[in-house]
Amino acid sequence: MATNVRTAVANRLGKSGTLSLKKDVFGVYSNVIPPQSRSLLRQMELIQTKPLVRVVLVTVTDTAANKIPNSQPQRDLDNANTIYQRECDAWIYCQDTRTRDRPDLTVFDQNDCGGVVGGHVVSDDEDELFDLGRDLGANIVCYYVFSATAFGGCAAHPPGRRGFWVGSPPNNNPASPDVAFAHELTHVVGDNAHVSTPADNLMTKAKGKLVSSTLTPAQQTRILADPDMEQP
Amino acid sequence: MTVMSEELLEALEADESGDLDAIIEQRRPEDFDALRSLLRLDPTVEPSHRAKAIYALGRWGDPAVVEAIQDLLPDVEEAERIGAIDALGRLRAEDALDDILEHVDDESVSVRKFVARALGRINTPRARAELSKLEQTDPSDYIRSLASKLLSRG
Repeated sequence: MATNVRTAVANRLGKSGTLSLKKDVFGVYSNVIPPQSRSLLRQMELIQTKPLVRVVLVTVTDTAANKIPNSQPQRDLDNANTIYQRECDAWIYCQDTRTRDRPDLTVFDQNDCGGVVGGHVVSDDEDELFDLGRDLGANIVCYYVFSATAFGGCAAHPPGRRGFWVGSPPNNNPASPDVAFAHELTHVVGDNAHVSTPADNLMTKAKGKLVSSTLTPAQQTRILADPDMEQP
Repeated sequence: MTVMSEELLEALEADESGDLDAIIEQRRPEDFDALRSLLRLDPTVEPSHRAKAIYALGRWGDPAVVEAIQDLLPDVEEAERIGAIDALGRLRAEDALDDILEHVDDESVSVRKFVARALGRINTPRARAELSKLEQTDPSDYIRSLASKLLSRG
C-alpha cells in the first residue's frame, strides 16, 4: 500500500519526496479539521480513478492590525468535496495553502462583480490580489479576505487568473457560509451562472444553502468539461 | 414611503454584487430613490443594506446623494466608513473633500488607502496637494507608494 500511495500521489498529484499523508494525500492543511471520517482507501480511489480540480487557498491578513479572516477552509473544502463527489463523481484537491500578510489588500476594492454590460472591470486591488498564489501549482486560487466593500464573495477575476474570493464574518458574512466556497468555485469551474430553480440548487442566490445542495445535469456536464478538471 | 422592488431587495440580500451592478446599469429612478432612502442611521435600516446602498450609489454617479453620504461618515464603523469614502471618491465629490480628509490620519491603513483612492479620483488641485502630502508624510510605505502612483496618473 505504501508504494502504491507514493506512486499514485506522484503520478496523479505530482508530489514526491517526503510526503505528508495529511497534506499531500488528503489535501488537508488546516489545524482545525472538521470531524469527518477520512478513508485512505476512498482517497486512493479518488486519486486513481476520478476527475479532479486543483485549488490553492490564500488567506490575506494584516497581522499588525489583527485583521485576520475568520474563515474555515477545511469545512469549505470538505463541503465542496461532498457536493462534487455526490453530484459529479469528481473531487477537489487542495494543492497548497498560504497566508499572505498584505495590509494593502485586507480590505480590497472592487469595481463590480462582472456580468454587467461591458464585462468585469478589474480594479487595481483585484489585479494585485489575483496575482497571489499563482506559483503554487493550481490554476484556480481561492482568496479568503477580511473585507471587501459590502459583499460576501465574488468569482469575477482578471483574464487568465482564475479564482474567486470569499468574505469573512462579521464584515462580509456570506449568506450561505457552509457552501459559499463551493458556490463561488462553481462559478469558476464550468463557468456556471446563477439559477433560480430548482430551489435546492447550489447556484441559486438563496440564503442558508446547505451541503445537500444539488447540481443539474447541465451544470455537472459543464463542471466535468472545465479545462482545469483533470481526467484520471 | 419609498417602495422597494423585489428585484432590488434580492440584490441587497445577495452575497455577490452582480445583481446590484445590473440594477445600476438599468438606472431606474425608483431604484435610485429606494437606495437613497437607505442612507440613514436608523434602526429600521439593515446595516448590510445601507452598506450595499452606499456601494451602489457611489457607482450610480448621481451627486444628489453626496450630502447624505457625508452625513453618515462620522458615525459609521470602519467597514462602512471605507465604503462611504470610496463612494464619495467615485462620485468625484469635491464638496466632500473636508469630510474625506477628516480620515487622512486614520490609524487604519485600509481607511487611508481609500482616502488616497478618493483623492485620486476627485483629482482637483487641492485633492492632488493632499495626495502629495500623503506621498511625503504617511507612515506607511504602501500608502506613500499608492499616493505616488495616483499622482503619476495625472
